[in-house]
Amino acid sequence: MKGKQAALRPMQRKKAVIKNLQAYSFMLPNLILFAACSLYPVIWTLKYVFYQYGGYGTGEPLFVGFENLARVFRDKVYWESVLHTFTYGFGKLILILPLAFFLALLLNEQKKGNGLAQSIVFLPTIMSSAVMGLVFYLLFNAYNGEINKYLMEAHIIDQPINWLGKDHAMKTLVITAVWGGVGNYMVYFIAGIQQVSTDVIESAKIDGAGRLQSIWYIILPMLGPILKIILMLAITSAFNDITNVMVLTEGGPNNATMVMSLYGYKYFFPVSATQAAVPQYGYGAAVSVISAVIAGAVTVVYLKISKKLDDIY
Amino acid sequence: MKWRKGAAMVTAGVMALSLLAGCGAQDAETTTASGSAGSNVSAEENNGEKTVITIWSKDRHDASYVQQKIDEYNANNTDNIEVQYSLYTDNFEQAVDMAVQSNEMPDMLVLSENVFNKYVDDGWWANLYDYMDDDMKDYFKDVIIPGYNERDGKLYFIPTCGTTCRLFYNTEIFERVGIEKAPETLEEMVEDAKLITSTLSGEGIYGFAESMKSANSGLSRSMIVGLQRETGKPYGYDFAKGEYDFTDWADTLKLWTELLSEECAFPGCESLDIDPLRTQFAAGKIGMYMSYSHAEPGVYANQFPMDSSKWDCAPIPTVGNKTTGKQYYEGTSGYMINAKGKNVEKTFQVYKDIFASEDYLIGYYEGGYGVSIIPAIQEKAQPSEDFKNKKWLLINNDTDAMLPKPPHTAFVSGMVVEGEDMFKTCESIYYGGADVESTLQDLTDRYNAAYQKAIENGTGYEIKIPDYDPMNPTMN
Repeated sequence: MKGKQAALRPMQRKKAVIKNLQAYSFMLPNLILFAACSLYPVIWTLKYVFYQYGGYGTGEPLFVGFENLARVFRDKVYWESVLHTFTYGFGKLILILPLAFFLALLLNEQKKGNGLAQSIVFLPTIMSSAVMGLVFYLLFNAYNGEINKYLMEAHIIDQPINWLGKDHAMKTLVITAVWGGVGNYMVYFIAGIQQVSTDVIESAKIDGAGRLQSIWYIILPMLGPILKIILMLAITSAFNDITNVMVLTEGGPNNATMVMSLYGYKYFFPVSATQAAVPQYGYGAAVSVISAVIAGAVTVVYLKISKKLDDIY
Repeated sequence: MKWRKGAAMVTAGVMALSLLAGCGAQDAETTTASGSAGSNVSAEENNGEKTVITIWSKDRHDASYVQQKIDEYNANNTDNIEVQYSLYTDNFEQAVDMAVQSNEMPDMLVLSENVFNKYVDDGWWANLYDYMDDDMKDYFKDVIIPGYNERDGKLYFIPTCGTTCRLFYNTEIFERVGIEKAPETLEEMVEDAKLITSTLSGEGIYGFAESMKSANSGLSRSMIVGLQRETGKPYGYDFAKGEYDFTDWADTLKLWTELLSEECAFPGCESLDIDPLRTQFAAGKIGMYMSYSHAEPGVYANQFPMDSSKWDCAPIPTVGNKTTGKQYYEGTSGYMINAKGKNVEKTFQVYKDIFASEDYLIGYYEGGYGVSIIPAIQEKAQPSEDFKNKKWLLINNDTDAMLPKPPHTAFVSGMVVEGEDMFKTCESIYYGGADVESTLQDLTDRYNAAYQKAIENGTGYEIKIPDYDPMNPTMN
């Protein structure tokens, strides 16, 4: 019996190999793309954490061990940028989510003009962030910005506000980010709201629930699972926002708006530098790795906390 | 069933192969594309067709003039040569890096000091002396500077124009508030800026502005250049002692903190780029700013038109008008020839016929594309009124000189300074309120530590010129 089984095994193995080969061949295109576009850059980055290297044509990379990582922990400006990232992310979240939810509720109804309104709100999402940044510069600059002009004409302020100065630059960036992202989150919320069974809302109405009560006790709790995803997307995107900051302030003044992704980026691609503009790939890689760990940790903590959102009432 | 599986596997295989083929096709396309712009096209070898010489530039401001001269050359040359000119502006260095890696370097490149320094030791640049006759050597002798463009007896490029930094001011605003002449000291400049702002801010006119969105870009064209004359130590480096010392920047930084305060400065300097600043200067909203001497005349003639009589320029003021050294001027409008190209001799011929010809150089200077530093051209050319009437637009041997490179620019990737660089550190003082003395001492310590570490690591070397005279600087 055992001998028969043993004789069968190579056959089964061959079949299994052919079966697996088929599966692997289907996966091959994606695997190649994944290895080339995701895996390789990560491995490259991890390797250069341990080197001092200025890029091609600047000599051989010099092995420096853990020096780059140690330097990150001594780098006061980097840790300030981490703090700014949280400020920026938190500011963006608390404004964008209620606003997007409100717009979703408003524009989800089948009323004339709602489709157009949805498109208008969504429009900034498909606009280039760099162009958006330039437009916001024209609106917010202190010397002839339109915002100051309107506020002064409306007698809300007497003197122009330096929106991109150290006291207000972060608020301005958050406003820009909210404007640029609210349409996207509105669409997510609309998708979620449309999943809520109309039967349940109708039943609540029959039981005497008003509009606000339906929102609070029916729609919001039933949005739990999608809200979890929306929140996660909002958190991770807040960690990676860079174009907006680069175009408007380049992280200034005096690093007041420096966020950790831009801080890492400028070591790979020195921004607006006319002097001594050679990248520090090694240190940039170390900053990026630590930043990824921080973003990952925040996401894990969030996923733990947000488990409750999975429970649909 | 079996045939379905087979078909599925074939389909998957084809998909995978097509992906790879896609990469290959892309590669081939790129090669062809760069080939047409790269040096390896030697069409002459095939059927006696024209030899293609490729030139890459990063300079947008003179592109139309250069293109016109190249078109003339292509139409008229009898050597069966066709010159192809490509413009890479923001990504010039990356394009060169990629060209080096893929061995598709063009035959000729416009001068970029970063690119030159990066590849000079790998033998990428041709020695022009090998092709120059005695007349040509004599014609350009004034701009051949050992340690700069001539190294170990080899000449790598010839700068034909020069640029440095000056204080630009609005003469009309000065007249309105009663300022009779450009400030010579930094203290006077602060007072003038305060006067303009206090008198005219109601009309949206302010005393001073600088493009401080990037401290590096803003200070490189202003304060750092003034400090070269004031301290005699370019970028804080004492060439005689072979060490950094930023501590004597303190007085200047205190005055700059005033200059950038609300009492003096144009609102929003913190987020200002140079072009928005220029638009406001042209609109008569800014009293003074500092920038490069070669660029501004063209900007106000073409880009943001401004009546030439309304602006002028002067040397950058220093604390108490103290002058212990010269400020740098940078050679521009030079070209480097790819020594590994297939047509080096013909490339040099193109260089000589176009970029080194008197006709080209006179037209370049007269057109306002650059300030000539070639004596014969200065003598013969009839530059625009700006250059005739505004003497500080020209390179002045009393104040300007070629300066040697301090360690952080000589081996820029080899010297890693921990913490903020000199520009951002200055920003932490004038915008962040950091203590001036202790911050500058810390900056000095960090730069010296990085320099010593670079020497220890072998990524740098000692730079010391024991008998360095800041008023008569030598390159080594």
